[in-house]
Amino acid sequence: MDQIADDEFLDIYHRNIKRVYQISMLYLKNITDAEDSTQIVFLKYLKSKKTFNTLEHEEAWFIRVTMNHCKDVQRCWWKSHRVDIEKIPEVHTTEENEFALLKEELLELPNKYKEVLFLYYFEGFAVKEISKHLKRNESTIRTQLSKGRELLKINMGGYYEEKY
Amino acid sequence: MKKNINDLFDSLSPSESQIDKMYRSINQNRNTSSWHLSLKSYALVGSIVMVIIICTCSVVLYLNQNNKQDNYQEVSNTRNLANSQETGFGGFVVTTYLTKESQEYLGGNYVEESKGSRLALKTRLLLPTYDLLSSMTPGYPFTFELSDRDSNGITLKIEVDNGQFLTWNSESGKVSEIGTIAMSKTGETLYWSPIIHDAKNTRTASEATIKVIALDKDKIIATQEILITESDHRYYAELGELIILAE
Repeated sequence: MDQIADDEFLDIYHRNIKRVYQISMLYLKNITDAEDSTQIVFLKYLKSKKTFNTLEHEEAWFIRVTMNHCKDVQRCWWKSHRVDIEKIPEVHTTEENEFALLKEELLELPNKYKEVLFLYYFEGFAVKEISKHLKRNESTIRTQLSKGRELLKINMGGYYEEKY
Repeated sequence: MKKNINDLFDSLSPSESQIDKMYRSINQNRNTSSWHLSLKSYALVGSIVMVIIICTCSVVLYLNQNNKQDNYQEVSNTRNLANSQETGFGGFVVTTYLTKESQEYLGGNYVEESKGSRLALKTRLLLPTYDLLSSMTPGYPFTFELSDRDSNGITLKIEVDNGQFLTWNSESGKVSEIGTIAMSKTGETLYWSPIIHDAKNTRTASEATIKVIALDKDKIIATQEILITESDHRYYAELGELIILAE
């Protein structure tokens, strides 16, 4: 029988489901693939029977495994050659339209910018931590953050105090 | 309504119903896996008993058949050991990823999820299934090292007569074509791809010989070959004899 108890797994699931799904959405850009990827990552966790010393360790493991899994999926031939039927245009107000366009811009960014922006702005990691997670130089992370913002044409203000 | 980047990421969050749906699905798969696992363990016990019976009967025949080959291997190993002691060269360590199931593909996380195995002398070992469309790695990973840690100044030259070598950065996904000759640092991983692009078409190599050469400046100290063969769409690797050339 599984060594990870149901209630223990439920706690871990609720602590990580949002970030695993969001990372999957960032990479795979559609709900079906993101849901599949999320389930596979949690099944990998159950299979690995991994124990974490700290919450940071747990968080880092889920981020890394999700990113690696999504990159695997992206490398698959069938994935890169198929057309998503989920991209059905929705009716929006002008403000919603701007937001939807910005969201589309974010999803279309190259992986290296998306992951850095996500970890910095959403997960609240400092550049040093991101550098450790992604195994890239701190200066590279700073450049990618700046380039990512530029590509997104972010002039939304308020959130960009530097944590270098 | 001024939105910020956090709102953007927040808009990618799953809904409550999605969270519930995925949790139910994970639990279902988890239980299915457990059920399969218990069934598998019963099958495994039965198989082990069968295997023991078959092995007992086969061992005598096997020992007789391989007697000559064992003697030959012993002689060549002794010769290599003698050469190693004379020259101080400790030999090569060639590591790759093996499988026991013929249909197992190598995933992109293979370093974290699998265990690299050292190739054994004159023993044919099964590699994971390679398929251009399904495999997550660009070829078969081989890591070449010198077993002697004090072999400073010795460089490794790796050659292959069929297919080609590639390097792969698993983080960025970048694949670089190296060709059929590579200068490798000890401990570096090269990917051997059986795919051959000719002027006319693309085909798959059914066999190849990888030659590892230890060089002290331009002088060849030792060489060893890895024979890769294909049978029924499955690739096998076998380590050849170590040849020490320097006196």
